[in-house]
Amino acid sequence: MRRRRDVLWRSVDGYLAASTVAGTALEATGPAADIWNLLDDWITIDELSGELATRHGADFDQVRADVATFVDRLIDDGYAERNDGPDG
Amino acid sequence: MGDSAALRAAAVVGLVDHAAAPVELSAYDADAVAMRARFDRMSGFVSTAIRTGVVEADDATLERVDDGWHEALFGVTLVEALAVRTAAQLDAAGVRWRLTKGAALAHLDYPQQLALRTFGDVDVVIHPDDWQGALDALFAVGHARPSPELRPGWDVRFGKGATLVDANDLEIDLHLRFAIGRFGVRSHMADLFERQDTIELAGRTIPTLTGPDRLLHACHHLVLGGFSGWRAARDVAQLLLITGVDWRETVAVAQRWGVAAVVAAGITGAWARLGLDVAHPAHDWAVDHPIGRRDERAIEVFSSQRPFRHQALTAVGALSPTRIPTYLWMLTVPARDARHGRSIGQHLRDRVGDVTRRRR
Repeated sequence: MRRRRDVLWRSVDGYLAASTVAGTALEATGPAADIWNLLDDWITIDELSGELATRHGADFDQVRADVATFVDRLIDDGYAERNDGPDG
Repeated sequence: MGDSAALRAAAVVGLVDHAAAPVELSAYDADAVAMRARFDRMSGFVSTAIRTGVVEADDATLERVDDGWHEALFGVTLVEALAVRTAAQLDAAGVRWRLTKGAALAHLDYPQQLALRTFGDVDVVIHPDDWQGALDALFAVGHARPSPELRPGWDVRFGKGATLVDANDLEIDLHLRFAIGRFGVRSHMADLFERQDTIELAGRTIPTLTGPDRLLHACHHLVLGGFSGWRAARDVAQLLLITGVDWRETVAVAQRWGVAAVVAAGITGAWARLGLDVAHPAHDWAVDHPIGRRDERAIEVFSSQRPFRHQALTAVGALSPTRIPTYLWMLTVPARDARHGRSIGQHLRDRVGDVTRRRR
C-alpha cells in the first residue's frame, strides 16, 4: 500500500492533516503521522508494522493490529491505495 | 515589547543566522504572541523558533502555538483541495489564470519550510479578457460572490477583483489587479500571462506567476494590502534571499507599469519590518530609488488603512482625463446591489462628503 498521489497533506512532528480533492479531510496525531510518512512508497503492512515497532520499542503484533485499523481507514476514505500483490 | 521581538525573531527563522541571544517570553507576552501568530498565520514560524531556541518559552506556550499551527495546516489542505477543483473548472472553461500568493509561494519559495508557510484562501489572477468566463464557471459550481460588483463594468475597467466563497465558506480571491487605486489602474495585467511557473497539486499541473511577478505581487500586498503583517514582509525577503528571483525583471515590469515606488517601498519595508541587516542589490536599489510625492501620498493612504473610497480615489491622478468622470460616477453611485438597499440620495451625500473631505 501507499498514500494516494492525489491527496493534499501536511505532516509535522506528530501531526497529520490530509484532504482529498473532493474536500473530505482528516486530522491525526501521534504515530499516525509516522505511518503516513512511511506510506510515501509501496510498503507492506508487515514492513510498516516492523518499522514502527522498532522505532517505538513496541510489540509487533500489537502495532500490526493498530496499523491495520488505521490503514484500512485511509484506504476506505480515499487517502491510500493497495497494490495488486498479496501483501497489499 | 517582548511579543514583537519574538514575532520578529520567528519571522526570520531559516532566513538569516541567529547569532543574537534568544528572545525570552514572559507569560503575558506568550499569550499575545500565540494569539498574534494564529491571527497572522505565523504559528509555524513561532513554533520552529521555540523548538530551535531562538525564542524561549514554556511547554504550555509551545502547545498553544502548535494548536494554532495544526489548525492552519488543516485549513491549508482544504484550501489546496479547493485550488485543484478551481483549476479543473477554470481550465474546462478555457480561462487563462495563474495561481499566486499563499499556495504558489509555499510550494515554490518555501520548499524547505513548506509546512511553515500556511494560508487561508486560494488566490488566482485572471486574464482580464476571461473575467466573465471565470465568474460564470465558478458560479456554475455553486460559488457565491458576497460583495457584488460596484457597478456593471467596474471590475474589468478599474477593480481589483472579487472574492467568491464555496459552500463551506472557503474563499477564492480572483484578482484582476494587485491593488485598487493609483497603482492598480496603472497595471497591465495581461503582461503576466506571457510567462508562467508551475507547481503540481494532487497530480494536476497548476500555472503560477513567475518568481519576478510573485515578487511584484508580494510588494503590492505588503505596501498596499491593508494588513501588512510579518508574513507579508517575510514573503518579500524570502523571494529575494532564498528563491533569488530575478528582481531586476520585477523592477523592469514595475517601471513599465509605473509602480516602481511600490516595489521600492516593499523591499525597504520588508527589511525594516524584519530588522534585516543583510546586503542585497535589490535593497540597495530600493533605498536609492526616489519615490515621488504623489506616489508617497498614495502609499500613505494605504499604509494608514484609510477606507476603501479613500484608497480608490488615489487613482484619480493616474487616470487619463477622459476616464475620470466614469471612474468617479461608478465610485460614488454604486449599483443597487452594491448599496445594500440604501437610496441613491443617501449614497451621493456620503460619497460627495468623502470626496470633499479628501480634497480639503
